[in-house]
Formats: sequence, C-alpha cells, structure tokens
Amino acid sequence: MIAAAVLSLSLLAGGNGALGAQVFFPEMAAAIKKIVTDGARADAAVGIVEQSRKESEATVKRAAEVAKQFQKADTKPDTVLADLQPFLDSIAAERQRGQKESLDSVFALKKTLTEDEWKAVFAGAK
Amino acid sequence: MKRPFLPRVLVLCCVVAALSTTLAWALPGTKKKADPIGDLRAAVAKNVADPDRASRMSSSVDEMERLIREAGALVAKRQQELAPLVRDYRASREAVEAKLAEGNDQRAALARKVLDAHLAFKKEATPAEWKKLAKLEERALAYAAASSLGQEPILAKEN
Repeated sequence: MIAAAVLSLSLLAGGNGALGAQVFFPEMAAAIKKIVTDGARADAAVGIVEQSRKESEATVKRAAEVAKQFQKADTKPDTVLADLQPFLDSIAAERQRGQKESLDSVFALKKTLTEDEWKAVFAGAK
Repeated sequence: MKRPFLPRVLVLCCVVAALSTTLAWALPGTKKKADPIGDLRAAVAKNVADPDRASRMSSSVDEMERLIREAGALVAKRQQELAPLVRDYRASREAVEAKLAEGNDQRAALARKVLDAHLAFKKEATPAEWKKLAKLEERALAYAAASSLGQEPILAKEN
C-alpha cells in the first residue's frame, strides 16, 4: 500500500506533470494569441502547447496503468522487493519519457517565439 | 478484497501537479481533520501484541514518514531550481536535462528507501495483523505524501 506515496512522489517530483506545469501554465494559449501578432506563428505555438497537454494526459494514463499493476502486486502479504522494483523502474521510465516530451515542447516553443514574445508570455504566468 | 485505490490517487496526483491546483483524492464529503499517521501508530500498538515486532513496525512508520517528508522537500527544492531555468529563453537543453537527471537520481533513491521501509513494516505483520493495518498504512502514507507535496491532505472515503 506504499504505492500511492511512492508513485505519486516519484512521478510528480520533476516528472512530466511538474515540469510541464512550470512552462505550460493554463492561460498560456490565450497569452500567446494576445502577444504574438504573427498569426501563423501564434497558431504553431498554440499547437505546441496543446500537444504538450495531450502528452501530459497520456503520461498520466500510462502511469495509472503501472500503478494498477503495482497495487495488484503489493496486495499479497508476502510481497518482496523483487516483485515491486519493476514497477518503480517503469514509473522512472515514464517520468523520463514525460520529461523528454516536455523539453521537446519547450524548445519547439522557443524556436517558434522570439525572446521578447517568450518573456511577455511568461510575464503573466505565476 | 482491496479496491484499486492507488490508480485513483495517482491519476489525481498527476493531474494536480500538471495543473498546479489542489490535490484531490476524493470522494465528496470525505474531507476531515485527521491524523492518519497517528491512527496507524495507534493501530500497531493495539493490534500487534508482540512488543518487539510492534516496536520495529513503529520504527518503519517513522522512517516512511521521514522519507516522505524528505521527498516532499526535495520536490519543492527541485521545482524552485527548475522553474527559472526552464523559463529562461537562453537556457540550454543540456542545462535543463542535467538538472532533471540530478533530481531523478535523488528521487529514485528516496523512492527505493520508502519502499524498503514499507516492506519491512509489512514483513513484521502477521496476515491477520496486516489485514487490519493495510488500509491504515495506505491512508497514512497517502496523507504524508500529500502533506509533503504541500497539498491539502484530503482523505479517501473509508470503505
């Protein structure tokens, strides 16, 4: 039953969700549309933000599936580390995959926006 | 039989992190002031007659709580370090990746220690004791994790 604590801390601590949340704040698409006057670049930037959101959701779903398997394995009274370690490894792999996807989005967005636009977008972020 | 509590918790935790909003494990009407970790300690004292085993189990609870608190502090520290870096237009990808890798290693080590403490706790319990303590341990650790992440500890409904 440790799974909730271990997995949530393990995945959240710098995982896709945490990293993404520091960049792709909820009002970001609206901020981009307001700040970026070039329609094509604005659309491209919003597309990146939207894609990142979808990837984050997919990461959550995959992690939930691993969590389900972890839970099942941990139900037995005689569970040993070897039974659970693979799930920790899977969570670590999901975390790193999520981080890579978030970074891909961050740097794609940097290529799409000018430095001034980038700063203006984040000026409104908490 | 145990219900799939964990997936619900994990999914909600992730969503909360992604949206930077309030953690919600939740079922309506279940939020209450509580001390799930104290409840677990009390349950160990009540249900484990062997004082040596009870003592070792209490030590495992202490260790899990300490490690989870440490992990929460690590999360906060890493996020503080990472936020300005990822929002810096001129920061290189390599710099961000290095910071993430550093945090990943620390988290993996902590997660493993928490898991070890959990298994040590579980190993000391007889099947009958475990039946009584498993859900309390789940609640206690979920509560500790929420607290360490700076979230309001909303508890799942008792089954």
